[in-house]
Order: sequence, then structure tokens, then C-alpha cells
Amino acid sequence: MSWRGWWTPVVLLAFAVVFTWPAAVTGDVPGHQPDALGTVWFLSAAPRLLLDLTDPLTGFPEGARYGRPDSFTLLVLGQIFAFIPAPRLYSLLLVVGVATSAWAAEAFARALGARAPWSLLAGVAFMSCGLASTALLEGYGYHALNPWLPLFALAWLRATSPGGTVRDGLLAGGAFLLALLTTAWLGLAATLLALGFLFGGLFRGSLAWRAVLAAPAVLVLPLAVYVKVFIDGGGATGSGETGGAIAIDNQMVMTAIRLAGPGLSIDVDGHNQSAAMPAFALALVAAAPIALREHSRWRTVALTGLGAGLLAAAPRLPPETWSSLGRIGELIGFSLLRFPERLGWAWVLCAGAVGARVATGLGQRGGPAAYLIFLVAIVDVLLVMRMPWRQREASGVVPSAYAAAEGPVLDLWPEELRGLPAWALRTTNTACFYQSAHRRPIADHCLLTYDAASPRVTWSRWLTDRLFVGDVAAAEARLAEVGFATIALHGDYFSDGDRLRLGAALAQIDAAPAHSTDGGEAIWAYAVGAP
Amino acid sequence: MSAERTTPPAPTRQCAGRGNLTFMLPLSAAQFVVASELPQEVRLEVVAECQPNNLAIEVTTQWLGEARTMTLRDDGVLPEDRARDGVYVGVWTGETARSLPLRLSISATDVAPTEVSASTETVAVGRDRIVWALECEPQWRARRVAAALPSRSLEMVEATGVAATLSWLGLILAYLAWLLQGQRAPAGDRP
Repeated sequence: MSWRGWWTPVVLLAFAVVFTWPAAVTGDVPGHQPDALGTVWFLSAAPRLLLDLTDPLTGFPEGARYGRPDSFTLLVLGQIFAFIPAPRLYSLLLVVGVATSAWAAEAFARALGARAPWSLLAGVAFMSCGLASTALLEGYGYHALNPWLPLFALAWLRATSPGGTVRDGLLAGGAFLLALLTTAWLGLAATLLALGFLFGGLFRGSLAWRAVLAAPAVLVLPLAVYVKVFIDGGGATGSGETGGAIAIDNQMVMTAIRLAGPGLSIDVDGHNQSAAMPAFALALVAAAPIALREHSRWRTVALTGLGAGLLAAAPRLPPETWSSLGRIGELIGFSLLRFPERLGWAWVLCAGAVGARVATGLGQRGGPAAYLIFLVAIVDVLLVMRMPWRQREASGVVPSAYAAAEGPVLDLWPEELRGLPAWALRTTNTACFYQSAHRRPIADHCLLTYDAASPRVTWSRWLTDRLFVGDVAAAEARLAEVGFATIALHGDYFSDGDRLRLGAALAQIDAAPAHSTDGGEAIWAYAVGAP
Repeated sequence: MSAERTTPPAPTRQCAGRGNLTFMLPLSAAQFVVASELPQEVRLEVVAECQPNNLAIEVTTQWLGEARTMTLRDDGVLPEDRARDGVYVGVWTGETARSLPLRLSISATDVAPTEVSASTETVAVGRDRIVWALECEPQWRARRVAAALPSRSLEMVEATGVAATLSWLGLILAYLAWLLQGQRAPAGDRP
């Protein structure tokens, strides 16, 4: 029975539905970490942000400028699909993202000589890797909305091969740009592919220069705009890289843990980071030197991927090293490379494609026994990578107390006394998620870096202080003057004593606050300036 | 288990039930959506590495504005619990909460009441399980762990997992070697 072309997207869509489960059907928000809630807010805010990256509904009263968003692609998608509720859109993008990315990786493998159904292995390897599961679990699912990297690899491989055409170069330039606009990490991974394939072509002395030069021709102007927006947005401000300060042997241990299959304890603390490669892909690419003995472009692809993999696993240098390079060093070392394992996207793509090429050869000669590799891949995804079993969801409902009034809201959460960033990110992402439904202005700045405090924290710190010292009337007058209409008390998280004292003080502002317990929290919404 | 209502005090204006601000879905899509309408079940487990006489473990929280206190038990009554195996278990159910502030305290014959953990834990929609390991050296404390196993066993499970992954890789390599045996490399693999 011959493989029909339309079977490929259907199989990969089924794989995506399973891998991202329950994203295809849920009304809640898939993800372990509150970053998922922040991403939902970002989608909902896209129509406001798209024009000039400013938002009057967050960072109240000044409004907020988001000059350096991680993903411009997500902005466009949020605008196009604004008619879909943001949590639902986020979930659907996870499914569609994994399916299309896997399909594109499968096409790249075919360009390398793999044949269906063996080429499916490239798609499954690419989107079942640790980086993909981390993106889905930690809540930045747009990293998995990544058909651009394989499409770039496909077009650029052709452009740097004998017979490459200007069209190949133009397509490569366009795909590179889309990868960069999806997240800067994919742009960096694409850069590694670009250099590797280019050197491979140069080494063989068979570059089609017109095709190669067509790619930068597409990129020059958009890249200039991108860099300008990046610099206007503050560049590397607010990063706070400390990874290089950790001893190199400790870094290597952590890297080894991330490269191994996700262990039992991986999801206990605040991260779900894994950079594991599916074992079947690793084994197939390891067999390539024997299975694909003849010299061909697979070596270029494999070596480029290996180089990217080594860079992704390499220890980070001490901060002093980067500081010695001045501003550029700070930008690269402190900011852009906070998570270098993400360069591993290039490694899993190349390894998966070469692996699929190897599997094709085995399948053509190995008979029915070769088909066992598909069973191996399924076991790998379900039992070794443990997806979708590791996924969980946060409530997609927003507390109805916000609907009791209109106007700007000041969310009042306790502060984490140890100053741990996880709490600040959790409260900010939750407030922003709520904002995506209640649509009222809030004080939070919704795209925070780890060492930057949200304006809401400053406001709530001031208000809590005023309420505790009994300066309630002046505090209310000040809030009313600024324009806040509601104080939303997130009472569950305060200690009993603080909750009692805050409740008593706030009762002087509004004796009958609106109260709700839906949306996963008990909220008391006090009207500022109530009669 | 006891429950009482706490502050901020009434009177409040109760907002209409669930879904006031739910992102409204088209009917056709809603038919395929599993929303978080089911009650949430949070299972709390503490693995007691040290077991002083008459150990009692108590957990408190605020669940959607309601103060809750629960004594964890090791009597084998709850499902998946074996009596006197050193794992103290309790289950809370209720409307979906996003996060729970959890305070864990212990007391025993020779141990004064001591708070061993205070944290705010994110809880998943549906069912979730939160596990601590209770340690007595150098001081009484409880730390979050992945499974209700003594720390040595947990380390063994983790190490076994890594060994199993490596063995799995070796098995696949052996399978590929078997396939490759006697085969010639395919020709014409140029893209």
C-alpha cells in the first residue's frame, strides 16, 4: 500500500492532539506555570498592542509600553483570531503549532531524502523533544508554534546546494524572519543553521551565490526595524543573568539532568525544564555514519545540528567575561543567552531529519521489522518523555467580583517576603489573565523580567502601609484622585492577622464589597469613593 | 476536618455564581469543551522520615475564603493508603481553587507543636496531589517532593529512571544494529 500525501498531516495532527492533550478540548488553560496565563493575556491584548506596542489598560495610570515582546508572531495571530476567546485560542495554537511544526520538520526530512512514512519520525522527534514539552508545560506555547525553523532549514539547504535558486533564497529569508519574530531564540537557532549549511556549501565549493545572497536581501530592512524596536524597547535592560556565576561543574551536572529524560521530580518546583532528545532519534542519528556511508548533505545537516547541540549544552561563561565585551557582551551574555539550551531546537531538527533519512534506508531494506521503530517512537513519547501525562491546567474562569463595577482596578496581593521572583510573576500573570476577561485597566505591567517589579507591587505596598497605619481616608482620596475605582483584595493569600486588619480598614472604604469565589479565588472588590 | 468562615467580614455583595466572566464560547465550540465545572480534589501526603511517638500532622489553608484544617492520617482508610506505612494522607475537595496557602505543622509526644512548612502551592484543575517529605535532621522541616517515598527510595527511583532511559537507548541501538547488519548503505541520498 502506497503512502498518500494527505495521510501525513492527518497523522501529525493526531500526534499533536495527543501530545498537547487536553488542549484540543479544554476550556481551561493548559500549563504548569503561570506564564501560560500571561501568554493568554498577551493574545487578548494583541489588538491594542499591534499598532505601537503600548497598552492603556495595563500599567495604570501611566499605561504600559511593551517595546520588547518575546513574540511578534503571536501579536499578529492574536489580532487575526481576536474573535476566539483568548484561553481557547491559546489552547488551539498549541495543537496547531505542534502539528504544523512537525509537518514542516517532516518536509525538511523529505528534502534530505527521507520518504514517508519514515519522514514522520522527523516531525515526531522535533515536536516531542524536551524543549517542546517544556514550552507547553511552562506556558510559552508559542515556542512550539515553530514551523518556521524547519521551513528555513529546508529552503536554506536547497539554496546552499548546487542548483539552488533565488526563490529558495527568498523563501529562506522569509522563514528566518518568521522564526526570529516568533521568538528571538528561534532566530538564534536559525542563525546556527544558516552558518552551518553555508559552511557546508563552501566546503564543497558548490554554492549557488545568487540563491545565497537572495536571503539577506529579504532580511535587511525587516532586521533593521527589528533591531530598532528592540533597542527602543530597552534592549537588554532588566535581564539579570546569573547562570555564568554558577561553577562550571555544577552547570554541567544541571545540563546532564536536563538532557536526560524528564525525571520524577522535574515538575515539583517552579520549572519543568527538559532538553531531552527522544531516544529513537538519538539512536537513528548515531547510526547515520554506518547507514548513510556515501558522502552527501546529511553530514552537513548532522554536523550543524551537533554543533548547535554542543553550544546548547555548553556551560555559560562567568559574567566578568561578558562584561569585558562591554554593552554587546552584556546583551549577548546576560540577556539573550539566559536559556542557551533553547539553541537545541536546531539540534533536534537536524537529528530528527537525519534520523528519518536513516529510517528510510532501513525501511527500504529491513522489511516489516523496520516498522518496529514507529512503536519505539510511541513508547518514547508516552513513557519516556511522559507527555501528555505531565500536563495540567489552571482554571479558565475569571472571578465575577470584577464584573461588579467598572473602571481601573488595583489588585491587592501579599508580597513574598523573601523577594522570590516566582511569586511576583504568579500574581502579575494572574492579574493580567483576569484583565483579559474583565477588560478593566489594572496597575500591573504584564510583561515582566525577573528582576523588575510591577507598578502594581509599588501601589499595593503603599496602600497596605497606609491601611495598616490607619490613614484610610487619605489613601482612598489618593486612589480616587489617580482614578482607581476598585480595590480587589485577594484574601486567601494573606495571613489571618493581615487579612483581618486589611478587611477592617477596607470596610471603611466600602462597607459592602462585592465578593466572589468563582475563578479559583476568593475576591473582595471594594469600590473606591463609594457613597 | 473543620471549616469556618473568616474575614473580611460581611456584609458583602455576593456576585452571581460561576461564569460571570468566563470567556464566552460559541455554542458549537462549547459542546466540545471540558470546562472546570467538576469539583477539585487535592490529595495531601506527607512521608514521615522520622516517626516520633504519637506523631500528628495538621494542615491548614484558606480555600476560597474558607479556613480549613485537616489532620493527616496513616490509617489506611483513604484509597491508595496503607495503614502505618509512614505516609500520612488527607484529601480536600471543593470548588476549583488556583492556589492554596498551605501551612503544615506537627506535634508528638516529645515534639512541641512546630510549623514545618508554609508555602502557597498552585493546584491543578480536577485532581492534584501535593507531597512533602518530613525530615527531623538537622531540624524539623517538610520539603516538597515528587512522590510519597522515603528519600532513599525516591533517589533510587530517580536513578533507576535514568538507568532505564540509558538502557532504552541501548536497546534501540541494538535493534538498529540488528537491522543494519548485512545491509548496504542506501545510494543516492542527496537532497
